Amino acid sequence: MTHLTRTTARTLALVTLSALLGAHAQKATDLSVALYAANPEAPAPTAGWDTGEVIRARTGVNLKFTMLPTGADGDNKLGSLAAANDLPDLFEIRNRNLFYQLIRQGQVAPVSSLLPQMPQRTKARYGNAMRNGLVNENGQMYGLQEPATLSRQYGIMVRQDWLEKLNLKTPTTLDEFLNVARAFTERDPDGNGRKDTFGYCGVIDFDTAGILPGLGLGNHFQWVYGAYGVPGTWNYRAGAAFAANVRNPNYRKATEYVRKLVDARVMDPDWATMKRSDLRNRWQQGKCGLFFESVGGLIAGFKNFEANNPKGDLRFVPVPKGPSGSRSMGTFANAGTLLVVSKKAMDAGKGPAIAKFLEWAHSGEGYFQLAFGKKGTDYTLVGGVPTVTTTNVNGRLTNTQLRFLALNGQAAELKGRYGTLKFSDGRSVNVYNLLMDTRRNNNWIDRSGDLVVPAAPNQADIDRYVSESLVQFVLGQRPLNDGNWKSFTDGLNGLNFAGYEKNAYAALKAGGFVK
Amino acid sequence: MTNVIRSAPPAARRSPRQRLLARLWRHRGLYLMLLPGLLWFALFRYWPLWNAQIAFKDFQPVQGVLNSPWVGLEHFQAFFSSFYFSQLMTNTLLISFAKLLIGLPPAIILAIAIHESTRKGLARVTQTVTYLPHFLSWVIVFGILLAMLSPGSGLVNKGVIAAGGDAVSFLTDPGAFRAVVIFSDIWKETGWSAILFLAALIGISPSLYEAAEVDGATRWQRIRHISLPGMLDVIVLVTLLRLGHILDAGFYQIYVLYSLPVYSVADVIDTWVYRQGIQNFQFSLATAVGLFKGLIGLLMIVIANRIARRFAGQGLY
Repeated sequence: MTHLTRTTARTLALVTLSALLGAHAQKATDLSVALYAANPEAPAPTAGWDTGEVIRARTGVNLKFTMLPTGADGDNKLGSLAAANDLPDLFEIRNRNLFYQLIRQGQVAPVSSLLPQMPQRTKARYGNAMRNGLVNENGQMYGLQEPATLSRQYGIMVRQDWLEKLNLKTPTTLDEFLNVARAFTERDPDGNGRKDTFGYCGVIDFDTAGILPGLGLGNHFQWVYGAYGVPGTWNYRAGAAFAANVRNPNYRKATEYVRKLVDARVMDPDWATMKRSDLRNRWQQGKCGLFFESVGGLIAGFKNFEANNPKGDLRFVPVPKGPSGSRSMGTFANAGTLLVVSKKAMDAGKGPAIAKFLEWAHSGEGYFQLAFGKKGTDYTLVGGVPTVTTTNVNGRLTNTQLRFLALNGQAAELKGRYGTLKFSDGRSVNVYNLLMDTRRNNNWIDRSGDLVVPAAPNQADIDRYVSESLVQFVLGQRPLNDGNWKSFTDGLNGLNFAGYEKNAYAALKAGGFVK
Repeated sequence: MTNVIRSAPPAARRSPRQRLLARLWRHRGLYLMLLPGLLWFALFRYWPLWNAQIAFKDFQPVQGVLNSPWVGLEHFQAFFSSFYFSQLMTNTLLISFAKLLIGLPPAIILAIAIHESTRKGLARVTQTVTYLPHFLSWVIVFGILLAMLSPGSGLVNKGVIAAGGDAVSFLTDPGAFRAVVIFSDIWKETGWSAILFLAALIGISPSLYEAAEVDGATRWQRIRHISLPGMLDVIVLVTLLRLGHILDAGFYQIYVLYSLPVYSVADVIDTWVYRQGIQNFQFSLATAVGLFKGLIGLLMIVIANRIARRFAGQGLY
């Protein structure tokens, strides 16, 4: 072959390759994906993002990723996109009210046709009929309901060093809890000579992924209602006498206990206006003896805590028992991320691309890329457990902003996410074990059925009425006596609460959650 | 031989359209500057009026504004019959009127004080310092208020406790909360509101003051008989404009400051609409309430304008 012929052949090969690559690039499907920020503290991915390039190369998907703000802001953003009939192709939805509304409005598509196109993912994640029932409407499956990956990571933490200093035992009952909280408030456990510590730190917080706050005072006080056997909104075991827990006499007793905590001044006087971030600042500063926190919160705050409290020792305590022996940290939904496909995307023929992308994200390279970042840079596998190796925290978090598509909640994954905290004095805490302990020791109650209960037309008024009344009772703005409690429960009638209960019962019964 | 002088046709012979075009061309620079403002009004004030019809419909985004099913006054009825309607109206009107009635005099007094100041440097510094808070977001103001009023660590409460009193939960006590809302608004907005009044004062001819001084008028008399009447137009204008927004009690401020313990005295129409309308995705309901507010605002302006014309001799139109 002459030089000229070789050159011509090379040129032809290059042209053919370019044409093929060009054809491949033309085949890439544009896919808009919106997920709630997995790592809100880290920046959103930018154009030219590594993971985006890998996704394009492996799945032929040209990803346009939108990071939704967490909490109500994210819900509102999705709501606005829905109002403009401009929903992303594939998106995560946390607000069930919005989910059912989008189904009624015909903005989301049935997804059962995708299941055979992603066999591994379907087998591992969407095989539970009860869980799939959470996303069924009129016999159609309108969402990909992932199993729960990380609920029940919350618990009550105690300053073990304070307990030892004041010669106190870990509280196991409500009475003991109050006594310990009093001692932490009044006996100067930090030894600084000032009365600047609080027995229990909790705030009014309804916005915690993975657990169900129910009506009332929010997540940080559910354990009190659990001690009286009335955690969450609904009493699933009441059968035909089904009613909201707020009607149960024990609900008042639990409220009286919270009132006792307030009365004894063991809580920060600002607790009713504080946010979760304020609470975190307080315990990291060493102001809280007992407080409601998550394993994730501990990881995020322990360095700051250690800097302020070099000898501080934090432990989870088992949830305290009530007078009749009941105990529960609260209620949770055994359901994780809910992924939804817009009808526009399905009509545009994007179903196969979505299925291919999700299947890729389920296992192997895709799973590790989305859940843990770049192999060799962000993490490495040690005995099958992904272990973070980078010190560029923000870079790794940015690389894993799509991790909700991949996470599966298996032991290896959790061990990888929750490693060991090392304190400067040589102590170490295995956070994975802590997580398992909080799940085991706190009698969390599965109330997944709550997700199918339709919101009342005046849901905001109902939420406000119950929460506001309880806050007034516990703050002493309204004396907690028979007359006022009756007036409070009678007031529910003005909100058509009975209608709300009736609809809840019907939905729970239809879903097989109550008999 | 007669010389015939031919002149251009007089302007009066031009058609109205030509005259209009000529006028527009003559002032083209001004109209060009006006254009962005007009576009803004068209896009954000008039175009939404078309979409406001969803207040009478069960808005379905897929079907669009036009094709969504008609439900008449259902959303208005839902609002009027809502559990907290009377409380929402009471809170909104109380807070709004209090902000207007208590907030206006300090702005007028500040403007007069700055105008009367003989030390111009000090006047300028005062003006700058007093209108700076206007640029702070309510989130920052909330932080400042917390640092001042917190029962645990607030500066004010430390003083109260040092004086032998009990800490006051200003932000969670229904008896104190409205005062916090009103006075924090006055603190934040007085300097900004004073700018308009100051502009009115600057517009008064200095010769009036000089003549009054020559005639022996005291400073107070000059304020009473020259400054205040000279500002009256602007005072009426500002009052009328604010009456048009009487059902806007300040969403951002209250949303940031309020909490469950004070809902009974703080929940206003806008915060309710946010929770019930926006967070529950009832956009038609939210629009219906918006229309209702607009209607009340219009009514207030018409009535107040008539009153102003009758008693003060001048109005907005």
